[in-house]
Amino acid sequence: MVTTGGFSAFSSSGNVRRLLSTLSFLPVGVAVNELIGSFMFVDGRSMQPTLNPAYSGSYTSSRDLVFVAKWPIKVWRRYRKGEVVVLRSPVDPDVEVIRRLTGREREWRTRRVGMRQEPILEGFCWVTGDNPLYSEDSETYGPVPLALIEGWVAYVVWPLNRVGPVPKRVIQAPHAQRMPPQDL
Amino acid sequence: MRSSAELLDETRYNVVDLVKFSCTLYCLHEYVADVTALAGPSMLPTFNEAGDIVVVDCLHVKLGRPLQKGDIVIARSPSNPSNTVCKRVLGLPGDRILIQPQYWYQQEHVLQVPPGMLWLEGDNPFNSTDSRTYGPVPMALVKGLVAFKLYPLHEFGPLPRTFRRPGARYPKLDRETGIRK
Repeated sequence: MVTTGGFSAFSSSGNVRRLLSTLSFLPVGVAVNELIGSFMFVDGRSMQPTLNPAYSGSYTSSRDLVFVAKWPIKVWRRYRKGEVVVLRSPVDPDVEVIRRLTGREREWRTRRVGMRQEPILEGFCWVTGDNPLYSEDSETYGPVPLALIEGWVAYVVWPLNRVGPVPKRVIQAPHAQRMPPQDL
Repeated sequence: MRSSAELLDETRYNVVDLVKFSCTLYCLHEYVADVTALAGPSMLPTFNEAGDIVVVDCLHVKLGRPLQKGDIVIARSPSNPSNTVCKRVLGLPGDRILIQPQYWYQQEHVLQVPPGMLWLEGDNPFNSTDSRTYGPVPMALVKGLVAFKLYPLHEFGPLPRTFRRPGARYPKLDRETGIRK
Protein backbone atom coordinates (compact mmCIF):
# COMPACT_ATOMS: atom_id res chain seq x y z
CA MET A 1 0.00 0.00 0.00
CA VAL A 2 1.35 3.36 -1.04
CA THR A 3 0.99 6.11 1.52
CA THR A 4 1.80 9.73 1.01
CA GLY A 5 3.16 11.68 3.91
CA GLY A 6 0.61 14.52 3.73
CA PHE A 7 -2.91 14.79 4.97
CA SER A 8 -5.08 11.87 4.15
CA ALA A 9 -7.95 12.64 6.46
CA PHE A 10 -10.58 12.53 3.73
CA SER A 11 -9.58 9.26 2.20
CA SER A 12 -8.78 7.43 5.41
CA SER A 13 -11.92 8.10 7.38
CA GLY A 14 -15.02 6.36 6.16
CA ASN A 15 -17.28 8.68 8.13
CA VAL A 16 -15.94 11.81 6.48
CA ARG A 17 -16.25 10.25 3.07
CA ARG A 18 -19.82 9.27 3.79
CA LEU A 19 -20.57 12.80 4.99
CA LEU A 20 -19.06 14.27 1.84
CA SER A 21 -21.00 11.99 -0.44
CA THR A 22 -24.18 12.93 1.42
CA LEU A 23 -23.33 16.62 1.14
CA SER A 24 -22.83 16.27 -2.60
CA PHE A 25 -26.59 15.67 -2.85
CA LEU A 26 -27.37 19.01 -1.19
CA PRO A 27 -27.35 21.00 -4.46
CA VAL A 28 -29.69 18.41 -5.95
CA GLY A 29 -32.14 19.08 -3.15
CA VAL A 30 -31.87 22.84 -3.59
CA ALA A 31 -32.37 22.59 -7.34
CA VAL A 32 -35.38 20.28 -6.96
CA ASN A 33 -36.91 22.68 -4.42
CA GLU A 34 -36.41 25.64 -6.71
CA LEU A 35 -37.16 24.18 -10.11
CA ILE A 36 -39.53 21.26 -9.64
CA GLY A 37 -41.56 21.74 -6.52
CA SER A 38 -41.58 21.97 -2.76
CA PHE A 39 -43.83 21.57 0.25
CA MET A 40 -44.70 24.62 2.32
CA PHE A 41 -46.74 25.39 5.40
CA VAL A 42 -49.28 28.16 4.95
CA ASP A 43 -49.17 30.87 7.56
CA GLY A 44 -51.70 33.60 8.15
CA ARG A 45 -55.31 34.01 7.17
CA SER A 46 -55.14 35.99 3.96
CA MET A 47 -56.37 33.08 1.79
CA GLN A 48 -58.87 31.92 4.30
CA PRO A 49 -61.80 30.26 2.65
CA THR A 50 -59.40 28.37 0.40
CA LEU A 51 -56.34 27.74 2.57
CA ASN A 52 -55.99 27.63 6.36
CA PRO A 53 -59.77 27.71 6.99
CA ALA A 54 -59.31 26.79 10.64
CA TYR A 55 -56.46 29.21 11.28
CA SER A 56 -57.08 31.66 14.06
CA GLY A 57 -53.60 32.93 14.80
CA SER A 58 -52.91 30.83 17.88
CA TYR A 59 -50.07 28.34 17.99
CA THR A 60 -52.41 25.39 18.31
CA SER A 61 -54.51 26.23 15.28
CA SER A 62 -53.90 23.97 12.33
CA ARG A 63 -51.91 25.04 9.33
CA ASP A 64 -52.17 23.69 5.82
CA LEU A 65 -49.29 21.95 4.15
CA VAL A 66 -49.37 22.57 0.41
CA PHE A 67 -47.39 21.32 -2.55
CA VAL A 68 -46.04 24.22 -4.59
CA ALA A 69 -45.24 23.32 -8.19
CA LYS A 70 -42.36 25.44 -9.50
CA TRP A 71 -41.85 23.79 -12.89
CA PRO A 72 -44.92 25.30 -14.63
CA ILE A 73 -43.93 28.81 -13.52
CA LYS A 74 -40.14 28.76 -13.79
CA VAL A 75 -39.81 26.70 -16.95
CA TRP A 76 -43.07 26.99 -18.85
CA ARG A 77 -43.93 30.53 -17.64
CA ARG A 78 -47.56 29.51 -17.32
CA TYR A 79 -49.39 32.25 -15.44
CA ARG A 80 -53.12 31.55 -15.42
CA LYS A 81 -55.76 33.85 -14.11
CA GLY A 82 -57.61 32.41 -11.13
CA GLU A 83 -54.83 30.20 -9.85
CA VAL A 84 -53.26 30.44 -6.42
CA VAL A 85 -49.58 31.35 -6.58
CA VAL A 86 -46.62 31.88 -4.27
CA LEU A 87 -44.76 35.12 -4.82
CA ARG A 88 -42.06 37.15 -3.12
CA SER A 89 -43.61 40.15 -1.46
CA PRO A 90 -42.93 43.31 -3.45
CA VAL A 91 -42.53 45.27 -0.24
CA ASP A 92 -40.23 42.83 1.59
CA PRO A 93 -37.80 40.61 -0.36
CA ASP A 94 -37.47 38.12 2.51
CA VAL A 95 -41.15 37.23 2.71
CA GLU A 96 -43.09 34.85 0.48
CA VAL A 97 -46.84 35.32 0.25
CA ILE A 98 -49.66 33.23 -1.20
CA ARG A 99 -52.23 35.10 -3.28
CA ARG A 100 -54.70 34.45 -6.06
CA LEU A 101 -53.74 35.79 -9.48
CA THR A 102 -56.84 37.74 -10.44
CA GLY A 103 -55.70 39.97 -13.25
CA ARG A 104 -53.32 39.86 -16.16
CA GLU A 105 -51.75 42.54 -18.25
CA ARG A 106 -53.83 44.85 -20.44
CA GLU A 107 -56.66 45.19 -17.97
CA TRP A 108 -57.79 48.12 -15.91
CA ARG A 109 -58.38 47.92 -12.19
CA THR A 110 -59.76 50.20 -9.52
CA ARG A 111 -58.71 49.63 -5.95
CA ARG A 112 -61.30 49.25 -3.21
CA VAL A 113 -60.27 52.58 -1.80
CA GLY A 114 -59.81 54.89 -4.70
CA MET A 115 -61.41 56.38 -7.71
CA ARG A 116 -58.90 56.19 -10.52
CA GLN A 117 -58.55 53.26 -12.81
CA GLU A 118 -55.01 52.04 -13.21
CA PRO A 119 -53.70 49.91 -16.07
CA ILE A 120 -51.89 46.63 -15.49
CA LEU A 121 -48.77 47.13 -17.58
CA GLU A 122 -47.10 44.54 -19.79
CA GLY A 123 -45.46 41.90 -17.58
CA PHE A 124 -47.44 42.79 -14.46
CA CYS A 125 -50.39 41.10 -12.80
CA TRP A 126 -52.98 41.72 -10.12
CA VAL A 127 -52.92 39.49 -7.03
CA THR A 128 -55.49 39.45 -4.25
CA GLY A 129 -56.02 37.40 -1.13
CA ASP A 130 -59.26 35.46 -0.81
CA ASN A 131 -59.83 37.10 2.56
CA PRO A 132 -59.85 40.81 1.75
CA LEU A 133 -59.96 41.87 5.40
CA TYR A 134 -56.69 40.17 6.31
CA SER A 135 -54.59 40.44 3.22
CA GLU A 136 -52.09 42.94 1.96
CA ASP A 137 -52.29 42.58 -1.79
CA SER A 138 -52.52 44.52 -5.02
CA GLU A 139 -55.26 46.62 -3.43
CA THR A 140 -52.51 47.97 -1.20
CA TYR A 141 -49.39 47.96 -3.34
CA GLY A 142 -50.76 47.92 -6.87
CA PRO A 143 -49.84 45.63 -9.76
CA VAL A 144 -46.87 43.32 -9.16
CA PRO A 145 -44.37 42.00 -11.73
CA LEU A 146 -45.00 38.45 -12.95
CA ALA A 147 -41.30 37.78 -12.33
CA LEU A 148 -41.99 37.80 -8.58
CA ILE A 149 -44.15 34.68 -8.87
CA GLU A 150 -42.25 31.58 -7.80
CA GLY A 151 -44.70 28.74 -7.85
CA TRP A 152 -48.22 27.47 -8.31
CA VAL A 153 -50.01 26.19 -5.21
CA ALA A 154 -51.24 22.92 -6.68
CA TYR A 155 -52.35 20.62 -3.87
CA VAL A 156 -53.27 20.66 -0.23
CA VAL A 157 -51.39 17.80 1.38
CA TRP A 158 -52.34 18.28 5.03
CA PRO A 159 -54.79 18.09 6.87
CA LEU A 160 -55.96 14.78 5.50
CA ASN A 161 -59.65 15.69 5.31
CA ARG A 162 -58.90 18.45 2.82
CA VAL A 163 -56.34 16.70 0.63
CA GLY A 164 -56.85 17.63 -2.98
CA PRO A 165 -56.16 20.20 -5.67
CA VAL A 166 -56.51 23.88 -4.80
CA PRO A 167 -59.47 25.12 -6.82
CA LYS A 168 -58.95 27.64 -9.58
CA ARG A 169 -61.42 30.46 -9.29
CA VAL A 170 -61.76 33.35 -11.67
CA ILE A 171 -63.08 36.29 -9.71
CA GLN A 172 -64.74 39.03 -11.66
CA ALA A 173 -63.48 42.12 -9.92
CA PRO A 174 -66.25 44.63 -9.35
CA HIS A 175 -64.74 47.31 -11.50
CA ALA A 176 -62.65 45.19 -13.83
CA GLN A 177 -63.09 46.12 -17.43
CA ARG A 178 -61.54 44.36 -20.35
CA MET A 179 -60.36 46.92 -22.81
CA PRO A 180 -57.08 47.69 -24.43
CA PRO A 181 -55.15 50.40 -22.62
CA GLN A 182 -55.01 53.43 -24.85
CA ASP A 183 -51.83 55.05 -23.71
CA LEU A 184 -49.51 53.39 -21.23
CA MET B 1 -17.18 -8.48 -22.45
CA ARG B 2 -18.94 -6.95 -19.50
CA SER B 3 -22.27 -8.19 -18.32
CA SER B 4 -25.37 -6.10 -18.91
CA ALA B 5 -25.89 -5.68 -15.18
CA GLU B 6 -22.44 -4.13 -14.87
CA LEU B 7 -23.11 -1.77 -17.77
CA LEU B 8 -26.44 -0.75 -16.27
CA ASP B 9 -24.77 -0.06 -12.94
CA GLU B 10 -22.13 2.09 -14.59
CA THR B 11 -24.72 4.07 -16.55
CA ARG B 12 -26.68 4.65 -13.36
CA TYR B 13 -23.63 6.08 -11.60
CA ASN B 14 -22.86 8.29 -14.60
CA VAL B 15 -26.41 9.66 -14.66
CA VAL B 16 -26.34 10.36 -10.92
CA ASP B 17 -23.02 12.16 -11.29
CA LEU B 18 -24.36 14.20 -14.19
CA VAL B 19 -27.41 15.24 -12.20
CA LYS B 20 -25.25 16.16 -9.22
CA PHE B 21 -22.91 18.16 -11.43
CA SER B 22 -25.64 20.12 -13.16
CA CYS B 23 -27.42 20.87 -9.89
CA THR B 24 -24.15 22.09 -8.36
CA LEU B 25 -23.66 24.32 -11.37
CA TYR B 26 -27.20 25.67 -11.00
CA CYS B 27 -26.64 26.44 -7.32
CA LEU B 28 -23.32 28.15 -8.04
CA HIS B 29 -25.02 30.32 -10.66
CA GLU B 30 -27.94 31.16 -8.40
CA TYR B 31 -26.18 31.64 -5.08
CA VAL B 32 -22.49 32.38 -5.54
CA ALA B 33 -21.42 33.97 -8.80
CA ASP B 34 -22.30 33.96 -12.46
CA VAL B 35 -20.46 34.90 -15.62
CA THR B 36 -22.78 36.46 -18.20
CA ALA B 37 -22.62 38.32 -21.47
CA LEU B 38 -24.46 41.62 -21.61
CA ALA B 39 -26.23 42.96 -24.65
CA GLY B 40 -28.24 46.06 -25.33
CA PRO B 41 -27.79 49.81 -25.59
CA SER B 42 -29.27 50.80 -22.22
CA MET B 43 -25.98 50.92 -20.27
CA LEU B 44 -23.99 52.39 -23.11
CA PRO B 45 -21.13 54.43 -21.71
CA THR B 46 -20.44 51.77 -19.09
CA PHE B 47 -21.07 48.65 -21.15
CA ASN B 48 -20.77 48.27 -24.88
CA GLU B 49 -23.78 47.45 -26.96
CA ALA B 50 -22.70 43.82 -27.33
CA GLY B 51 -19.84 41.60 -26.37
CA ASP B 52 -19.27 42.49 -22.73
CA ILE B 53 -18.66 39.61 -20.34
CA VAL B 54 -19.02 40.33 -16.63
CA VAL B 55 -18.89 38.51 -13.31
CA VAL B 56 -22.12 38.80 -11.32
CA ASP B 57 -21.84 38.57 -7.54
CA CYS B 58 -25.02 36.77 -6.43
CA LEU B 59 -23.78 35.99 -2.91
CA HIS B 60 -23.98 39.67 -1.96
CA VAL B 61 -27.73 39.70 -2.61
CA LYS B 62 -28.42 36.22 -1.23
CA LEU B 63 -26.70 37.09 2.06
CA GLY B 64 -29.00 40.08 2.36
CA ARG B 65 -26.27 42.69 2.26
CA PRO B 66 -27.68 46.13 1.42
CA LEU B 67 -27.30 47.61 -2.03
CA GLN B 68 -25.94 51.10 -2.43
CA LYS B 69 -26.73 53.91 -4.77
CA GLY B 70 -24.60 53.55 -7.89
CA ASP B 71 -24.41 49.76 -7.83
CA ILE B 72 -24.95 48.04 -11.14
CA VAL B 73 -27.34 45.13 -10.71
CA ILE B 74 -28.77 42.30 -12.75
CA ALA B 75 -32.50 41.98 -12.15
CA ARG B 76 -35.31 39.97 -13.61
CA SER B 77 -37.20 42.25 -15.95
CA PRO B 78 -40.53 43.51 -14.57
CA SER B 79 -41.89 43.81 -18.09
CA ASN B 80 -40.99 40.28 -19.19
CA PRO B 81 -40.55 37.51 -16.60
CA SER B 82 -38.19 35.47 -18.73
CA ASN B 83 -35.74 38.31 -19.37
CA THR B 84 -33.10 39.88 -17.19
CA VAL B 85 -31.98 43.47 -17.28
CA CYS B 86 -28.80 45.23 -16.22
CA LYS B 87 -29.35 48.65 -14.64
CA ARG B 88 -27.85 51.04 -12.14
CA VAL B 89 -29.44 51.61 -8.72
CA LEU B 90 -30.32 55.29 -8.57
CA GLY B 91 -32.70 55.23 -5.61
CA LEU B 92 -33.08 53.32 -2.38
CA PRO B 93 -36.30 53.03 -0.32
CA GLY B 94 -37.29 56.44 0.97
CA ASP B 95 -35.31 58.40 -1.60
CA ARG B 96 -37.10 61.03 -3.59
CA ILE B 97 -36.47 60.81 -7.30
CA LEU B 98 -36.81 63.61 -9.80
CA ILE B 99 -38.17 61.88 -12.87
CA GLN B 100 -37.06 63.38 -16.13
CA PRO B 101 -39.65 63.27 -18.90
CA GLN B 102 -39.10 60.54 -21.48
CA TYR B 103 -41.72 61.67 -24.00
CA TRP B 104 -43.14 65.05 -24.92
CA TYR B 105 -46.41 64.54 -23.06
CA GLN B 106 -44.71 63.67 -19.77
CA GLN B 107 -43.81 66.16 -17.10
CA GLU B 108 -40.99 66.36 -14.64
CA HIS B 109 -42.23 65.09 -11.27
CA VAL B 110 -40.95 63.82 -7.93
CA LEU B 111 -41.66 60.30 -6.64
CA GLN B 112 -40.67 58.69 -3.36
CA VAL B 113 -39.36 55.13 -3.64
CA PRO B 114 -41.60 52.85 -1.52
CA PRO B 115 -40.11 50.47 1.08
CA GLY B 116 -38.64 47.26 -0.31
CA MET B 117 -38.19 48.71 -3.79
CA LEU B 118 -35.39 50.23 -5.84
CA TRP B 119 -35.23 52.83 -8.55
CA LEU B 120 -33.24 51.39 -11.46
CA GLU B 121 -32.15 53.33 -14.51
CA GLY B 122 -29.84 52.61 -17.39
CA ASP B 123 -26.83 54.80 -17.95
CA ASN B 124 -28.08 55.70 -21.40
CA PRO B 125 -31.27 57.67 -20.68
CA PHE B 126 -32.16 58.02 -24.35
CA ASN B 127 -32.47 54.30 -25.05
CA SER B 128 -33.34 52.51 -21.86
CA THR B 129 -36.52 50.86 -20.61
CA ASP B 130 -36.23 51.21 -16.87
CA SER B 131 -38.00 52.46 -13.76
CA ARG B 132 -39.16 55.52 -15.67
CA THR B 133 -41.36 53.14 -17.67
CA TYR B 134 -42.35 50.45 -15.17
CA GLY B 135 -41.91 52.25 -11.87
CA PRO B 136 -39.91 51.18 -8.83
CA VAL B 137 -38.63 47.59 -8.96
CA PRO B 138 -39.08 45.18 -6.00
CA MET B 139 -35.78 44.19 -4.37
CA ALA B 140 -36.77 40.54 -4.72
CA LEU B 141 -36.19 40.78 -8.46
CA VAL B 142 -32.51 41.64 -8.07
CA LYS B 143 -30.37 38.62 -8.85
CA GLY B 144 -26.89 39.95 -8.36
CA LEU B 145 -24.40 42.74 -8.35
CA VAL B 146 -22.24 43.28 -11.42
CA ALA B 147 -18.80 43.24 -9.85
CA PHE B 148 -16.14 42.75 -12.48
CA LYS B 149 -15.70 43.15 -16.20
CA LEU B 150 -13.80 40.36 -17.94
CA TYR B 151 -14.11 41.24 -21.59
CA PRO B 152 -13.17 43.29 -23.64
CA LEU B 153 -9.69 42.91 -22.24
CA HIS B 154 -8.75 46.59 -22.38
CA GLU B 155 -11.67 47.31 -20.02
CA PHE B 156 -10.80 44.40 -17.70
CA GLY B 157 -11.22 45.29 -14.05
CA PRO B 158 -13.67 46.08 -11.25
CA LEU B 159 -16.53 48.44 -12.08
CA PRO B 160 -16.45 51.85 -10.40
CA ARG B 161 -19.50 52.90 -8.44
CA THR B 162 -20.05 56.29 -9.96
CA PHE B 163 -23.42 57.65 -9.03
CA ARG B 164 -23.48 60.33 -11.69
CA ARG B 165 -24.08 58.81 -15.07
CA PRO B 166 -20.78 58.89 -16.92
CA GLY B 167 -21.03 60.83 -20.13
CA ALA B 168 -24.50 62.21 -19.52
CA ARG B 169 -24.73 65.98 -19.50
CA TYR B 170 -27.41 67.95 -17.78
CA PRO B 171 -27.68 71.53 -19.04
CA LYS B 172 -28.39 74.04 -16.31
CA LEU B 173 -31.80 75.56 -16.90
CA ASP B 174 -33.34 78.63 -15.41
CA ARG B 175 -36.27 77.62 -13.19
CA GLU B 176 -38.55 80.44 -14.33
CA THR B 177 -37.91 80.64 -18.01
CA GLY B 178 -36.54 77.21 -18.85
CA ILE B 179 -33.76 78.82 -20.83
CA ARG B 180 -30.28 77.36 -20.75
CA LYS B 181 -28.09 79.40 -18.42
